[in-house]
Amino acid sequence: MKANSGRRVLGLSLASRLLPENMAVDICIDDFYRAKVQYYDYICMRRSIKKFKMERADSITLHELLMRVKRVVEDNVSGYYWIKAEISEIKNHPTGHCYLELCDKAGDDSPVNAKVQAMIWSNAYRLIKPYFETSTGYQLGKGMHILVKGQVQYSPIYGISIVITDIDPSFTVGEAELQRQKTIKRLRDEGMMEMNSTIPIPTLPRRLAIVSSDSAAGYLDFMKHLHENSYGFRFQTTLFNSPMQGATAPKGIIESLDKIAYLQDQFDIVVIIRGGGSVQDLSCFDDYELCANIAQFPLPVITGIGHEQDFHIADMVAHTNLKTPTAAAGFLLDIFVREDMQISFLSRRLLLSLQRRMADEYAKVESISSKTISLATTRIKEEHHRLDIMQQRITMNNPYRLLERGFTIITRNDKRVTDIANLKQGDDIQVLMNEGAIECEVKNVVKHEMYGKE
Amino acid sequence: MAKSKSEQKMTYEEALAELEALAKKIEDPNTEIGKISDYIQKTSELVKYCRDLLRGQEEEIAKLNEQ
Repeated sequence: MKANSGRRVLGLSLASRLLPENMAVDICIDDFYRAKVQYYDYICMRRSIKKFKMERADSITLHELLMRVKRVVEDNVSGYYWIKAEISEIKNHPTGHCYLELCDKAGDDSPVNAKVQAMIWSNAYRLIKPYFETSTGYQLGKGMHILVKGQVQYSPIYGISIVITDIDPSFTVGEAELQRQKTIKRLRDEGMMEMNSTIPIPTLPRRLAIVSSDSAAGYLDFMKHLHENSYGFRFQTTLFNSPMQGATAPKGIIESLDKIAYLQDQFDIVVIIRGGGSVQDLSCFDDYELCANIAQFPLPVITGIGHEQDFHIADMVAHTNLKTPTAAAGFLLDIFVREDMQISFLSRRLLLSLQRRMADEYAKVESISSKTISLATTRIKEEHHRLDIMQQRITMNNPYRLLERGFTIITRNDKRVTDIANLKQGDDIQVLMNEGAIECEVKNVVKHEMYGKE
Repeated sequence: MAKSKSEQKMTYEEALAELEALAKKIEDPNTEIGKISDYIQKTSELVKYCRDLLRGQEEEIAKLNEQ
């Protein structure tokens, strides 16, 4: 207090002496600082002499001081605590120990409000690590929310740290699920859940844009199943190679989707393919940005991600989700099989109606044919009859038949004489009889008025 | 031989027309009596020819009917 008031007095007197009213401002400030420095030097010298005299008697070493801090800390926060925190750094040491930095935030986008070093000693880490990984499907990593059991320890050299002896995997699973639910709710609120499914799949989706990794087993399964189909259907597939796991996957897949969107006229459908993997590998398919991109994509997107039991938000927003890459290929093939069956059905119907029509026509022809046959038969009978009549007529008019019946025919110069008026006495005539003729001379011509006129 | 060949080529209608003509000649009293038997002979050949043609047709029709 004394020193402070002294400085103020001296400061004021210095100022009053050094700052005459008419002095220019820059010179004034310069002189003021010089005086101030001189003053501090003086004060510090006096204070240190006084302090040294005072503190020499009861001073302690830094170690002693920090050991006191250690006692205070360990007495007041002794025992084990279950602590919720986020991993901000993690390093696996070759000795088997794990060193972490834990932090805490009030919310997802809030700044860090607490930070501490932590470690898991190798004897504990050996057990905790595999247990955590098999329970959650995740590897401990940066950004992960964990619930740890630990004890606060204070080292005069390293400061405050937490020695972790256990991690509760169910908390991390719950946190991940919570995050997932948040993403689902957000997508639902933004109306993106059903968006892609409203785009109709073309009748025959033949041109496929595939988002996958060329080295992925799932991709190879898909291609094999699709291209080696027993029906002989042919597809045009274009691969958009993308990282399909880890933190870079969402960005990589979105880039591929952007490329496809640019060429959308060349494709009928997008297929996102990824074989099975760990929960952590596949967690990228729960990413909000990726799912929002899929939902708003201008072509129908079908997914075949992971194994039977895996279900991701990407599956929910996609047009159609299939459990595996092979199932995705099967889905596409089924569309073609259905169309094929439809065509077969139609062609069978066509054939049947054709056959029916043919049968009708055949019956018509048959009836006409039998009619014509009966007509023809009748006509031939008529012709026979006509010939019979003709024969009869000829027979009746055959003069030789008259001779057989005892009649005679008179001829002169081989011409028949039918009129008595043509004969006169002395004419040479022939009388034709059955089986012979008589050469005669007309003795007399007797005209018989009544003869043959009855 | 030449005659029978021409008969073979003859259609039924032609044969019928010829028969008709022959019948008229037979009926005609001015026809030379010596030619009558020739005509009669010819008509019976023509009738046979016509009947053969008709029988051929009948067989054809019967075959078609079976089909």
